[in-house]
Amino acid sequence: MPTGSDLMAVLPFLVAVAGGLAVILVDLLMRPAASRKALGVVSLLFLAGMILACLVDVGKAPELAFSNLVVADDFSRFLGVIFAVAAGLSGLMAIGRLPDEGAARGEFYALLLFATGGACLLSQATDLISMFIGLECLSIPAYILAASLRRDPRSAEAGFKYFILGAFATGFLVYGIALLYGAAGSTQLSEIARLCATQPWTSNLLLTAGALLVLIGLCFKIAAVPFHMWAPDVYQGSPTPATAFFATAVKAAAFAALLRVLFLALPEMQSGTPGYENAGWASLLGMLAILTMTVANLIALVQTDVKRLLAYSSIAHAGYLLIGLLCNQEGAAAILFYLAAYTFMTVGAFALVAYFEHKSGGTSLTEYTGLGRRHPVAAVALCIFLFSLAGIPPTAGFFGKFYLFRAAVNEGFIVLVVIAVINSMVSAYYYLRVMVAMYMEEEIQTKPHAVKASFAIALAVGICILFVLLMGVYPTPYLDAARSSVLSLF
Amino acid sequence: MDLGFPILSSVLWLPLLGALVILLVPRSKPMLVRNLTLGVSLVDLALALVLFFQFDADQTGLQFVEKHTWIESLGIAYYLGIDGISLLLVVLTAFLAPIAILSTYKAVEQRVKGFMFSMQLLQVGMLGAFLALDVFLFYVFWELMLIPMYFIIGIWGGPRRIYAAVKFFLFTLLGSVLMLVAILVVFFSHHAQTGVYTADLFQLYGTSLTVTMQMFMFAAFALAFAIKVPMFPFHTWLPDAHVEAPTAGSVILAAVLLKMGTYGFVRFAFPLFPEAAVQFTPLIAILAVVSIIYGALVAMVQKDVKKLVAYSSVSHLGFVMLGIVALNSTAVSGGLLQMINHGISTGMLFLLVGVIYERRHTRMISDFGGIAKPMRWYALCFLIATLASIGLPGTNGFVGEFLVLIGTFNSDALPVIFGSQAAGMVLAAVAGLGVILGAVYMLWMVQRVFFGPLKKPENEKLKDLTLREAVVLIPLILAIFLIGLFPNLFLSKVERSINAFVQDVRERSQVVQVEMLADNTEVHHADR
Repeated sequence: MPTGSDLMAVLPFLVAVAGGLAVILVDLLMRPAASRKALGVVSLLFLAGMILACLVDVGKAPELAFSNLVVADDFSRFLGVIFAVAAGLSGLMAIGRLPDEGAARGEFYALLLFATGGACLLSQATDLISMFIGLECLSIPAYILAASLRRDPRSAEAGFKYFILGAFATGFLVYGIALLYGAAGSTQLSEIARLCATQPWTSNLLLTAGALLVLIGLCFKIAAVPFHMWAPDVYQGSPTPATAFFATAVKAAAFAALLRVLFLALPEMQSGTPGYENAGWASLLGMLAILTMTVANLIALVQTDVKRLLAYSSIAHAGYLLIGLLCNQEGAAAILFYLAAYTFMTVGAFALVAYFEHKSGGTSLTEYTGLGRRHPVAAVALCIFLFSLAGIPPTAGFFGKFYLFRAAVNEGFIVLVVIAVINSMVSAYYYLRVMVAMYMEEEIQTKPHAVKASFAIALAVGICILFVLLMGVYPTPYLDAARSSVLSLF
Repeated sequence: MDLGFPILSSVLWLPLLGALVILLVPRSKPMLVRNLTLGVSLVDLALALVLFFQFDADQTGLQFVEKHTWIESLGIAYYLGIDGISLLLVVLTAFLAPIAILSTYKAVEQRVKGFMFSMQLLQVGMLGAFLALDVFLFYVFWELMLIPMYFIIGIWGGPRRIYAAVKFFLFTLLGSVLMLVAILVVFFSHHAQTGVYTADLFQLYGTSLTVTMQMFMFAAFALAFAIKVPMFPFHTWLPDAHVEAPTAGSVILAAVLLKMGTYGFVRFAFPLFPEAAVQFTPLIAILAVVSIIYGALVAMVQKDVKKLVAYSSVSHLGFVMLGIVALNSTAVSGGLLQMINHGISTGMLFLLVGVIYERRHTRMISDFGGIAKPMRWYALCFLIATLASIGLPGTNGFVGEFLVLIGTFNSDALPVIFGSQAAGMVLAAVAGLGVILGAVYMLWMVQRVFFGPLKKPENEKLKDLTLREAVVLIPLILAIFLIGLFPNLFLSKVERSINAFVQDVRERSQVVQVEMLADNTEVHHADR
């Protein structure tokens, strides 16, 4: 039986799940024709409660619960806030957006909350089994969210693709877990670490293969190249609020799991045994980082659809984040800071895509022409997010990249950083293309619907701008929070 | 020096305040937006002049220093200060802002608010880059300049504005991201040696790196700055950006943004990596004279006046670079003065081209001829700017070019570095040829545009300068003669800073030692 302290340890998870159940219940009581916006507000309240549940415990020593299946530490609390913020902003977007798409049903918010709960669990897992449960709690609602535009074949395709490839990734993960269990006799991350410490891991094929499969499974989730194939289609086809959630919360959760696995279970495997220094996961992930950012940025250059362009951009950002995995403590802190910054700028950008989608009916670049004139405020806001994604100061994106690259230079990965900065220069080109369309190109007039700006989306965008600028001008509090949050991993 | 308030921060942030204020003005009142922006830039200029006159020329080192912690955990501080070198550039920046803004009253009629916002944000970026003494703070301002300039070219520019804007953005960004990596490497090397995380530029000067490491780091910085200057062969973005930018954009671009590059060499690349700087000197010196000659030759064959002026910038900035690498006080002072001069005379030429473009909507030399008759005052102004640009004695251009040539000719560092006694003389001679070429292309253009018969009927009724245009140009004319006749007013402010720079780089790059070694071998030869 779980004790009270067990339950307290997973409080954010419980709040999110309770929120999901509450939304379903209230949904049942509502008239079928009634607007579902109120449900969005209900879910926002629970997400606020979840943030509160994370924040009140900040600074407390790590606490294991459920027979060492999960831990409540500052790391999971930091990420819990990111998940809740991402879900909350996506929820705001959904409140403003979904009614027009005919997808305004209560389930959307419930699924969003369940997925958020899953993400929390994933970030708390100290055992491969709880990690697997968390991942599935996160993924299964996500598949449904992707397909929630019932009348849109692209949404159905997105859901289906996400599900098939997600299942595929799960297969890798579970197989890896099984092998690791075979090698270590336990699914505890700390037990696996103990095994690695006692014997040279290169000679243990079971362990190596298991670790590799688990990493592949997680790399699917962060959409690292070459495991990224699903991402563009899913991001493009899903309703935009769901896309924003996938690009931020799901990615952040997978990175949390990666950090836990790499540093709690496999720290010994970072580099190879003497004579095989380059055989560890550091070199592997380094190569994956180069591949991910380069391929994603190059493909993004030729995209003509803004949503798809942002999808490739989000893959590229996973590439930058991978660099952080190689840089130990500072790198992990940089990843957390970057994830926070990335959440605000990406959700902000998708919120504006949702807003413009709503007005002009499409997401292709040609439909963005003249937006600078027709919607000056929204266009400026999108510019801020795009500059932040490109890493131009004074935005959160700049400090995110800066902190990440700083950690990498400190560890001596100068070539890797040079590749990364050149990549970020390449990426500037496609972010600029969106601005070129909005401000500089001749207007190719598409008929804009005369619909009033949605307060919910405006609020989401406002929050994102506030934090993108705040984290860009005075990042100190967030940096310090990120730094102290990763202490429990090392 | 204490003025009782943080003057550097005031100069720096006032334009941002102005930018935020004009956001509140309704779009239907463009004139109010213009006047407000002009007012803010004039107050900023007044503050900069206070700075100029309060600056103590007899004091070596930094003045008006402001230092506050900003991001303590990363060792980044809000650290501002000026010495003579940055003083002149800050004053130049503040001086040109109201002029550029006033010049747009008629030229920019679309999206006035956005334009003025961009101009003021650009001002913040430029002033910040000149004032920052923390390398990361510098980098933030350096990148910040990109955004407004990108929009100024891309939205209010000419027909090929998109291409020009994107090219400008990407070229500059390529240079600066590599510089960021180099900054980080220096930062950590300094920490490894001293145990202190600091981005304080003057503390980083003391970082000792192996020569190979220095070479890489210098290359990264130099690429960023050489693109900005621009030096041949990194200049290809410049003609596009200059020609497509609206007049005020070209003025600021030529007058101030290009100086970021040369300033960067003086403030960052050379003192941070003195040994590598010496190693790279032959390359830079040769590229500098190539820029001088190449820019002049390409300018000569231009059909478009604006493009001609743009290429002349490549040539003029070559002089500045030559002055810097000659590494003696005379040449570096000349180079610095030439940075200011180029800002004034080329800025003025761009303004004048803008004036005629507003009237005729063409800038082709062949569309004009004999327009000195209908536009007498305009022709006079143009002639003054031309003469300043080609360095007629009595104008500012003469002093700067002369000092650079003398300094290069007499340079003791260049012969040592090149390993040939004639190096300074040859470089000075080739650069001198550039002066002659400069006179040729400028005067030839003036002759074709202003003199000869009035062939085109459209040109007969061209209106002469309006009062507003005259107000824009008169301060520049005054500056041309002020610097030309009383250069010491300005040179005295920079003398100590430049001596310190030259001495510092020489000592740490061991040019002096090498020189002594060379002298010794000569003595040996004499003994035999």
